Amino acid sequence: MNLEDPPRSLPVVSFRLKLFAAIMIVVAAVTALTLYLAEQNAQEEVGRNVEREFRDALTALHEAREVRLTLLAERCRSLAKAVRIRAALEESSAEDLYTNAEIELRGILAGEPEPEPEAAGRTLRAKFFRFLDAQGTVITPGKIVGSGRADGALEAKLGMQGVSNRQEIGYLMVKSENGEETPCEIIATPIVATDTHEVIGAVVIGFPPLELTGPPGMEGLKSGIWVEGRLHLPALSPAAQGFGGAALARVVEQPERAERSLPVQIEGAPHLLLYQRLNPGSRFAAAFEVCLFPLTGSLARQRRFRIQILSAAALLLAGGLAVSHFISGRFSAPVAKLAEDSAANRAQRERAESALEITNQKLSSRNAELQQALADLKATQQHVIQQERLSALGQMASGIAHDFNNALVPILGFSQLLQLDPELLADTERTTRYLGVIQTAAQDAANVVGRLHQFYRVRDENESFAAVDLNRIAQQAIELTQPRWKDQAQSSGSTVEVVAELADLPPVAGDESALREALTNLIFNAVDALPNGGRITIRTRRAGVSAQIEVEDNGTGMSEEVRLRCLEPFYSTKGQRGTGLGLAMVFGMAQRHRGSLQVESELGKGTTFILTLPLHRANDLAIDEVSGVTRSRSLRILVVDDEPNVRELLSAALSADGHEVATAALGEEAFQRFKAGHFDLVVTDKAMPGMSGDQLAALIKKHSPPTPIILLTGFGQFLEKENIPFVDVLIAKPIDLLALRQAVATAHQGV
Amino acid sequence: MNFRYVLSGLFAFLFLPSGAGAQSVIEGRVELPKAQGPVVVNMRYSIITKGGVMQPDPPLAIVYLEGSVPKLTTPTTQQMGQKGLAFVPALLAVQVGTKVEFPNLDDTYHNIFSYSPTKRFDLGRYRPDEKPTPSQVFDKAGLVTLHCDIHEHMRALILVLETPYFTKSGTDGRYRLTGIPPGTYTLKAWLNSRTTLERRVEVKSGQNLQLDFP
Repeated sequence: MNLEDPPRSLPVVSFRLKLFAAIMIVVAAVTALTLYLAEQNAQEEVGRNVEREFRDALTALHEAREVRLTLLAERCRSLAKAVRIRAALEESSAEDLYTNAEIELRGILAGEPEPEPEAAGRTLRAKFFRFLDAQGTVITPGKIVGSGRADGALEAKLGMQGVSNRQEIGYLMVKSENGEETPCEIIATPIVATDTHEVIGAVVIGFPPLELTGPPGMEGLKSGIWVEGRLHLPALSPAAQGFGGAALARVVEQPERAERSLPVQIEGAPHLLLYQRLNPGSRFAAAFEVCLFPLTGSLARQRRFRIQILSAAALLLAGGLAVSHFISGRFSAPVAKLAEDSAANRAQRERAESALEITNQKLSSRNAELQQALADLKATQQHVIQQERLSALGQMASGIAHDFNNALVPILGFSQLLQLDPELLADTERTTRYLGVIQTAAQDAANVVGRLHQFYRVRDENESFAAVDLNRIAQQAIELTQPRWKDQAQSSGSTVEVVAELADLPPVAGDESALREALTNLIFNAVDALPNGGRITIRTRRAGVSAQIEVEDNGTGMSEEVRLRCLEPFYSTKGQRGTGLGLAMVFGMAQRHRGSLQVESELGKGTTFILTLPLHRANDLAIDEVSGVTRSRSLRILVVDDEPNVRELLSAALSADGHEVATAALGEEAFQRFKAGHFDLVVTDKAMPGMSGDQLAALIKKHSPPTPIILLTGFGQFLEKENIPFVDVLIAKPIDLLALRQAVATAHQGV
Repeated sequence: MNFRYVLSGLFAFLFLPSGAGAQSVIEGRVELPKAQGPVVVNMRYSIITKGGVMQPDPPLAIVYLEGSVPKLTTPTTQQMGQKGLAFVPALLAVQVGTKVEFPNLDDTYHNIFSYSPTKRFDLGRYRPDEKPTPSQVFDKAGLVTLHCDIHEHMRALILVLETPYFTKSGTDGRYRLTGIPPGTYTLKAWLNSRTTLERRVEVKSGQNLQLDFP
């Protein structure tokens, strides 16, 4: 028991006590029940035994009495048959009757010497006799004094109301010589006429009753006779006889009473009193045989037995006490532990439950909040998507402006350089190189515009790429970005070194300007990561069926979070300076080229972008391969464009290819010219004031179906040739002269 | 043999007093009580007791005259034998002073006795060849019941009368008294130990009276 923690130990103590009490109650109950049953059993057994012994003894006595009575009755019958007695009766001669009877009863009457000495009370000797006439009246012996030894008082008792035709047994109290009244057994035997079988009288013989004494072992058995309302039991004191007689008198008045025994207290000792009608059906007064059996012996036995049982019970209880003590101790130990555990558990559980309850409430409120938030979020999402689209558009516009500005840098730079220093124009080689740079930049600027479309365009499965020299692209990108990494870096006081480590590579399949732009973006990104200067390394290498180009810087590097998110659109670490679209665009380009973009970065050590692109396969036709080769014969070409610069450029370019070129500014004018002259080919702008290029093409085809028509359009990316039925070749603006040459050749050959 | 005795006795008794010449006859019929048992065909009868009354069975009557009648002067002897464990005859009427012999005609002992106040006697046991034949003289008028001490059922009646004029009726009740001198008498019909009918009768000389009982 933990004394420092009484509230917890109390239930355990009470449990132990309860267990102990419960076991004790069970044990006690079982013991009590067993004892009760055992004692009941024993008592019944003892009672049965006593009664059985008693009845056995009585039966033996009764048998003796029966035998005696039968004997006496037989004697009486033989007497009743005696001829002389009958004759005397017939003659109503009392003298003869009694004289003869004395003679006949010689062997029966008392006073005569016994044939063999018998115990007193077992005698068969008659004490008296009287004859009755047919009416039952006593025939007095008259002068024959002493005959039958019955006085007048006795005679008065012997009379019967009519003589029955069978033997009757009765009992009377007879006053003996010493004045003491003793019971007497009387047998009345009818005397029957031999011829008519008429009852002519009766003889009544009185015998001393058989004094019943118990057989060996039943010496306590006392027997007596209850007659004339009195109990005659010689073994008892007169007072006790009176008491027993009174007790019997109450009982024998109920003849139907089945119970033939009753317990009585005689002289302070319990006795069992049995009584039995001695003369059932007799015309004489009812007499009962009364037997008294002292119960002291059996009671003592019962007492002994009870003591035995009680001591056994005490032992059992003591044993039960010990066992239950042991059991309750054994059981309460784990229960004590259990109780402690369960108390702790309960506390925990209650805490947990309350916490759970709170949590649950929180959760449900949170859930509601979440629901609300979700709804809000959905609304917000719609809103944000809308915003994002707008923002993306703006961002893209600013990105495009940025890239466009980037592209304009060399154009403006070099063209200004040439204009500022006209002497340079004399240096043809240098001028040609500058012009090349300007052309490339302009080309890029044109492509930037196309990016609006390209950026979100899903990759076209059938899109085919031209074979591109990745090393050349890399060099171009380095050159293009030089103003940024060299000039701007220097102006901010830091030095950025760009190193190209270019391996020998087969061409990759790709969009040249897109690749250049992507590389440009990567270089700009690297420059941004080198605020304090550093080195940018650009590597190319072959990797199986792919080529790889790396842009590595030893700058600030990216955290893991940034690294994982850097390719997402609109994710920027540069604040207002960045659009968040640069790397996303690179990634989109890589995907479009069936390639991949890999980012390796370590914070403080630098970042490496690895762009992997598939190599170009041989069946991918490239415009470059046919360019220059396909130079068609001299043709008469009508050029239609409302823009004079474009018209001039086209005219110059086509003329340079040896074609004869006529121009028209508007559709109507062109159609007039076409009808007036003969043209092998018509090159027309699509969007023109008045008649559009489409209408013109339709007119011309109607007029001269074989004439091929090349349509120029600023919306080239959004159009398909099939949607413009009268056009043979579609060329998107800005016009690449090589593409134009190819288109002329294609259109003419197709004709 | 006893019939012969009886008949000769009767004959002597009837005709001895004659001589006065004018003798009368009384005849008639006595209404007899009903028979107690089956009618005995051979005319043998026994004495039964019913309600303390002894009577012959089948019933018959003894009819006799009482009045101034001559006493028996010479002793006569009658016989009542025991044959077949019965008295033969079972009913005997005798004049006072008659000696009745009780010959044992059976092969067994008999012990005839009577407790009747008219004549108390006890012959004791005797064999069939007992000589002299046990006898008693009935010197007092009255009814005597005879028993056998050995055979309880045997019973006989002897009616001892003062008069010499008596007769036994047939079982049909018919009787005939002859040789009656003229005079006034009481005619009695004994039916059983308790019942005797009587009527006065005046007999004239040579008269043939027809008298029925009742």
